[in-house]
Amino acid sequence: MIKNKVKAKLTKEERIKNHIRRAMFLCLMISLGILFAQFIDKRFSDSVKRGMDIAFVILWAAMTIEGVIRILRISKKSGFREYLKFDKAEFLYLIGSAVIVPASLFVPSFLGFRFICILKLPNVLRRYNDENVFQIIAKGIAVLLILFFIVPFLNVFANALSAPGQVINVVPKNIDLFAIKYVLADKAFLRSFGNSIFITLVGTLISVVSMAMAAYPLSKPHMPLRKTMMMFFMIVMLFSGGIAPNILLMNSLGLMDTIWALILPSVVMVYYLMLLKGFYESIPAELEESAKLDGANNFSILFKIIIPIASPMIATVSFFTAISYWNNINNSILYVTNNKSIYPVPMYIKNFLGQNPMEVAMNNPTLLTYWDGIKMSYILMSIVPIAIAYPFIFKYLKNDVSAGAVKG
Amino acid sequence: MVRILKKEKQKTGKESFRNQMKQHGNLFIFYIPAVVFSILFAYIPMAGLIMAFKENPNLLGSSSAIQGILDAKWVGLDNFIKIFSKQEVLNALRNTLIISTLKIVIVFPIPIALAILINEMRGKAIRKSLEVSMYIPYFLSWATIGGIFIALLNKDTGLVNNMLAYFGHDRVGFTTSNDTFRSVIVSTTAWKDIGWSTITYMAAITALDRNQIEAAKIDGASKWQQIRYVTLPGIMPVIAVMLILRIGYMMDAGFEQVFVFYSPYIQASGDILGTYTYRLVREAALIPQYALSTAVGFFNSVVALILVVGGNFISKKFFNRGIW
Repeated sequence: MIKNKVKAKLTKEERIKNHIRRAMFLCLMISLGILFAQFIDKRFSDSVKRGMDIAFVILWAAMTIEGVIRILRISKKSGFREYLKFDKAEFLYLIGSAVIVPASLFVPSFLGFRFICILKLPNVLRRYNDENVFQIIAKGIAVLLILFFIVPFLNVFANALSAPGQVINVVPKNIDLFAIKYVLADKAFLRSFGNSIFITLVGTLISVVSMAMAAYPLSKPHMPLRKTMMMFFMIVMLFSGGIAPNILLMNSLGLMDTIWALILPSVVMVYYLMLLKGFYESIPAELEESAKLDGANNFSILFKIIIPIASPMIATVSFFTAISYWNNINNSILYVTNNKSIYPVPMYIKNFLGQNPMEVAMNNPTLLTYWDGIKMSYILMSIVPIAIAYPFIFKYLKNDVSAGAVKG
Repeated sequence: MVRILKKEKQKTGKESFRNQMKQHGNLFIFYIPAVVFSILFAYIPMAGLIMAFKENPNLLGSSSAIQGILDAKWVGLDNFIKIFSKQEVLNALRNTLIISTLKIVIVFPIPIALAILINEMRGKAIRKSLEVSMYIPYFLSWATIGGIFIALLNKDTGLVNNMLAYFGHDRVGFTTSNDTFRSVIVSTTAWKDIGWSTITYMAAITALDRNQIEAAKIDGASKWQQIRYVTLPGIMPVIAVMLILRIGYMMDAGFEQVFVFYSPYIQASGDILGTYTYRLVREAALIPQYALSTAVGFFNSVVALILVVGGNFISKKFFNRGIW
């Protein structure tokens, strides 16, 4: 993108005009915000309502004064009619709001009509350079979104590190590491990390190997029964037996409450199978033909030629398979009834959060005071592995996945 | 030339099938692991769907689950009549549809707007920090997200309620009140998925012809006009396909997510088909209601299948793209 670095030198008058514009824009935005808050929810206390009203009226007055001055200036320069031609909305707004805003101070049901100040919006925006308006709005939204995504994490962090019994929002107060220490000393929690790692590694390995193998014959155009096999796998993706038959199946296989119940049911992820198949199809057939002439058998063709060429796609698929294994709680909700020693991290947390603090803190009453902090420390600890891996994930996302995502 | 003719011949006719088998037959070995897992964990449960047409199997009295299912009496469509006369099921069905619809209407458009915004935004630092922060939630488990948001929305100590109280508003029990539960579900979905879905649209925008936008600029199109008449129409096919496919997954309102936030207080507004079937099996008062649960699941799967296949058909027919 080309940046507009050349700035024309502004005269003092123009600079003042720019400031006024910005101020008007700010006034408008804040007053719309106030209105919005008042409108969507009427449960504010009276003093706050009064404060909001006063703030709104002040902002309104500022905007009105600016508007009137503008009318006077322009009509002096080129006549009132010329002004009306271009700024009908603003004029309408001035007239309307001069009645509605003072009236709404005394008649609460007029509150909704204050939205008339939206009429001012196009007018204010038009006075800006188009690009600048867009950038201001875009950056405002971006900042809000960043806050939206980040604040929950800050809140977890602050709660986990603070001493109990105070109001904590996003900044830790009176740092107290008791909760973190308690969580780190929890052997069962550490074991759940072990479980998660085992499930993720073994699951990804089984899953990716069986998918990378099955995708090969599927990608062959002359393979007999190819359509049938496609159908066979599509049905797996599109239809399911539901919860009850799956639970009964696990029961009769004797897998209930074993760690394999958390791995085996989700081995075949058809969507990724199809991604792999699509990638294999793009590999030129000549490579195989020449290998065949050299006397290579199917296994060595697949493992020595196809899979190395397809390694970027296989890496992507492994990555997503691993993520879905690490985060899966579906299997542990359904197939683990009382064997808590095989809980993976997410299920351990889900289970811990659902516990009654009174029972856990039976022989250690200090836990009760630290209860919120302990809960948050568990959550914090479950975020840590993702946070450590995230820089790599992000880099990877930017390079490979975004390119591959559209094709699939 | 002869070889080509031979190949043509091989493609059709019965003899060619045998030939193909001879040529490629040993490749069938590669199917084995995937097929075994599919049969075991997808097709056998599908066979278990016959439970939907039988009495609840008496598992304690029979030698094995299979024997118990086979021994149960056929009852035809009784189970379906039973479930559709139950208020709870209708409630769950309604909630499933409402929550899915809300998710589509509110969450679906945001990534599109966001992708356009990021694409047009100047200022590398803010763009980069937005991108970094928006992908993180996708990589967290619903259990973790549930924990974060239950604490954040807590009535007495949560950040959101602290802010409301600071502005003089009453405290609200977001996750335990029927009025607000659905908005919690929708906003947590937004938190988790927005960033991730943006990637698809950003890729689509990057693939657009940059010259068109430049030409529009030279013609004096304003920023809004550029977006409205060049960028949006350019990515419209992608949007349409994504929307159709998303509607195809309407019957799945997010079992893991709702399960994490679920509590008996919000049954009226938050109980979806997934959680309902789960409770029939796991938390039923006396004996697990396998037959009823299967019937609900069967209904759910069939409707979902119709939606997905129909959606894919439409998107293939009109936009030449689909999931298969």
